[in-house]
Amino acid sequence: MDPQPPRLALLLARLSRRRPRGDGVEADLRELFDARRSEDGLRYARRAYWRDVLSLWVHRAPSWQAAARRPASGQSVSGTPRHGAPAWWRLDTMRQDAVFAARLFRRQPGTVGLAIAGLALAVGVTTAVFSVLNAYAIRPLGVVDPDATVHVWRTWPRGAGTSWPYVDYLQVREAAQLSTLEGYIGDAGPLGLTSAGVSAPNTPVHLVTGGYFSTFGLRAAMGRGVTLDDDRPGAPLVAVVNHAFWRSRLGGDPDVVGRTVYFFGEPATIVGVSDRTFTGPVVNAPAFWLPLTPAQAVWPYHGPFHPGSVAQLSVLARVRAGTPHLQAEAELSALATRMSTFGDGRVATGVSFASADNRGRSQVPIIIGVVLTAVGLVLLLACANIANLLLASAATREREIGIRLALGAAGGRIVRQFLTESAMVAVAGGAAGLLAVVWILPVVARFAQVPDTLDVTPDWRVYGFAVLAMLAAGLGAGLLPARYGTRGRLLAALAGDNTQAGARPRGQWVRSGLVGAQATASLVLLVLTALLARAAVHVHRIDLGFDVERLAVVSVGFGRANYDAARTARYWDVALERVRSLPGVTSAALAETVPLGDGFRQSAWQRGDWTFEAYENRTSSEYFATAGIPLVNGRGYSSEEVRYGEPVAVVSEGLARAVWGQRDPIGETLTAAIGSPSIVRIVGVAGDTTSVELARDTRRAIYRPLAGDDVAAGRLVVRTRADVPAMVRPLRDAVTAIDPELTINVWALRDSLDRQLSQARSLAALAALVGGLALVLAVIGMVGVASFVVSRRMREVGVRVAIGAMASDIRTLLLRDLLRPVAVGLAIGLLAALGGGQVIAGVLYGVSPRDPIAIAAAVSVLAFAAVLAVLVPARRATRVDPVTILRQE
Amino acid sequence: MKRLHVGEFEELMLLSVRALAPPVYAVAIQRFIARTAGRDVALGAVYAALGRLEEKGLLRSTLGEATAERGGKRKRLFAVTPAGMQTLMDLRRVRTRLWQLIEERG
Repeated sequence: MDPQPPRLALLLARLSRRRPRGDGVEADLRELFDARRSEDGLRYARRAYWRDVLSLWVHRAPSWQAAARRPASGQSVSGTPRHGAPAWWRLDTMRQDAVFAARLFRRQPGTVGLAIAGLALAVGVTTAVFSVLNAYAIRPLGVVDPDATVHVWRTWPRGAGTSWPYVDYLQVREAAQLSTLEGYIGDAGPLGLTSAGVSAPNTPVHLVTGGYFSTFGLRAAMGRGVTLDDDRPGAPLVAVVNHAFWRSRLGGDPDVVGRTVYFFGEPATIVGVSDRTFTGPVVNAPAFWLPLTPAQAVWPYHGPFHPGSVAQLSVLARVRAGTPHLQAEAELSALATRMSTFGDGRVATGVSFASADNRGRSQVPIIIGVVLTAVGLVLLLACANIANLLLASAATREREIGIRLALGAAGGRIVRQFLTESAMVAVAGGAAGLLAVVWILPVVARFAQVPDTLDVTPDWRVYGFAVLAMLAAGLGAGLLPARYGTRGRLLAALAGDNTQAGARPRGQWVRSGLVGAQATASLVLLVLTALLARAAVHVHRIDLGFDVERLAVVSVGFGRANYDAARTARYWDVALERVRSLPGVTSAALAETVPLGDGFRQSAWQRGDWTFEAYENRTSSEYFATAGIPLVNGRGYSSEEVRYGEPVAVVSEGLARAVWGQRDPIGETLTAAIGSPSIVRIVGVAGDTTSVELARDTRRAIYRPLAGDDVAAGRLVVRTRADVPAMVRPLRDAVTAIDPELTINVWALRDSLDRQLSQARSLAALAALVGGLALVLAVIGMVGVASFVVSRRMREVGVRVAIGAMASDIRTLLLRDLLRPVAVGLAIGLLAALGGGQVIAGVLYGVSPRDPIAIAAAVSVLAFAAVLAVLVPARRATRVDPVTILRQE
Repeated sequence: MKRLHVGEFEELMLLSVRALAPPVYAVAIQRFIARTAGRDVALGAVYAALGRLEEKGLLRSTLGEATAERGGKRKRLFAVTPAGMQTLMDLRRVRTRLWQLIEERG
């Protein structure tokens, strides 16, 4: 059979015109196609066919067809020939619409420009936030076959867990036929870029099995991934660096492969940079992947062969292609059951598969959701502005539209005219917004505290979202005026009587509604802004409960050095002694966790039949004096009590009040819900502290002696006489001298505090950005509507002035009418803000989400802006000369 | 009579319609221009120009008889009207004069 013309093009040709019977367009197209094919070849003929079809859409259809069939003129009033395709579809008339709209816009460049700029900002910020959200929660896991990748949980009679003993993993992996098992241990450790010192104390790493990369499909951007050879005992330690981390923290160094980095002071050679899209079967990719076996020799505590290891080998499987998951699961279960007990002594009952993609639950930081909602509101505000603009123009064009309808223009054509106008604004604003994303994205990523290891580059999902947002904005903003526009009152329009005195101009209710909605949305955003701003101020006044100035922390990484509990305890004794003897050191103590950045252990306690949780820290006896936490009642524990692990505890005032109320807690006991010693005796009450995160209430705290078997996790807290920076060097030297093999880190607590303060500040800054944008958009909307309404009521104003109304009467009348919808919007917004504030309570640093000052400030700013926005046009109205106005009629 | 403006492409079309042997229909005209002037014009443009020329009264069209080829579709056949012929002659005269002038100047 002869080659056919492109079928899609043919379809397009059929759509392009309503072809009457006997019309030979299709035959013409075909004949041309055949001619070109024989003369110029098939490829050319196809291309030319497409061009022909498109040309049918672009060019005005010839009129002879109409003339032959319909002797009278086939021209409709809108200048569109009545034959051919439905007007809706025709490109040439669309071009007319666009030209018409452009002419209309040129007459009001200010309003249109503002609407476009507002939309551009809104689309830009929304898209940037969406691409962060995309990276966290939407795009599929960066593995080669996400559907076949599952987490393998092991199950025992009374539960299930994600972590596997390494030996069991090896056995099951060896025997499995239907799926390939790989595992990783997720951890963080000190990364040194030079052998001299540590530059990133908590760098996330994954210690992975040798097949991890090949199984989950790494495409290395440079170098190679971790291989089976890397995962053998005695193999040199290598590292693969995350693409995003390489770009952000290693400066995208093109010679990075072959460089040496240090983990716990141990050198590792970088052998590759991961492909941008590879995250492994997790959302938050680590900064580095290291082979498990050599890395465990370096890693403290976590090595899978380490005696008493707490290795958390997470096991994942890639199910062989074509194998049902159930079948693979059954096979692994059978293998696991055959072991009777797992390596850690638990009774094996099998395995179960869980989706590796478990992000739906909680991975998305709540703040991203809040920001996305906020920018969504901003987008709505921008849309409302466009809608308002078009509504206003629809109202002034009542007459034009009335005439077009009266002369027989199709309603659809009018609707399309409005849609064209809004689409043009939407496309212009959206395109500008998309360009702006390049600059907005890094700002948003910083504000949202996106980790260095997360790649937030927009992909097609983000662009798709932006285009959808743009289309929604265009359609949403255009449909309302279009609906309104086509319900033309022909007679009234033609009589020129579109502003009957005293009658409310049509469409005003719609516009009032839009303005009210804008007031609502921007009030919600302004309240959030005000709350976050208050929080940013308040956070500086938080009573930490301890003295953060001149407080240093020394951490020690024991690495693979051979330290058992007794030796570690001895090490700390020496370290404390040496640090205390340094000139410039006032006191020093050992603590399991240090404030502001370490996180606290949370433990469960019972008093009678009431169970509660408390933040727990284990410390040496000097901790209270060193950190500057006052003991308000009783005493601290003595060094003897610490040494012998006495079951004593100091509780915070907040805990004492919660448990014992006004009674004296000294001598009372608490029972641990889990662990031992099960019963502790309260010997003292310490002042409350804000010591985990500024945003978190840690007033229920319990302090216990740091027992000998916990000391490996300890840190030194040092109170210095001089400022900490001057003491970093002497402290490091003193501690390093005890055992040069260990990795020593020294930092000032003040720095941890500043980091948290800057988080509060940047959050407030981001909120201020969004809130300010909302305010600007709302004011644009209100000014637009106010000046429009005023201009439409000029005649009424003229009549009123003519019969003796005072300027103040006019002003009051207009202000009242114009501000009513704003007031209603504010009232609704207030209710919404009271509810919405709860969502961000977690980042308010103790400021109440219903903080009256913040709410009052937001309301008054918006109300003031609203009055200003309507006052200017209202004043203009009072200055009119009634004679001029009335003469126009 | 109002003088009608005829564009360069329209002139080409008119000349082609005159030069072609019957049947003179859209595809034949398109092919003719492609071969003689080396311009493979889009079909839509051909239709549009033919339509304009007919509106201006320089061409007239009739529906031809159905034939076995083209799936029995009838062809619209074109012929140059006397007014069209007049316009072509006018154009030619103007051009010839201009060329003469150029050649006289050397």
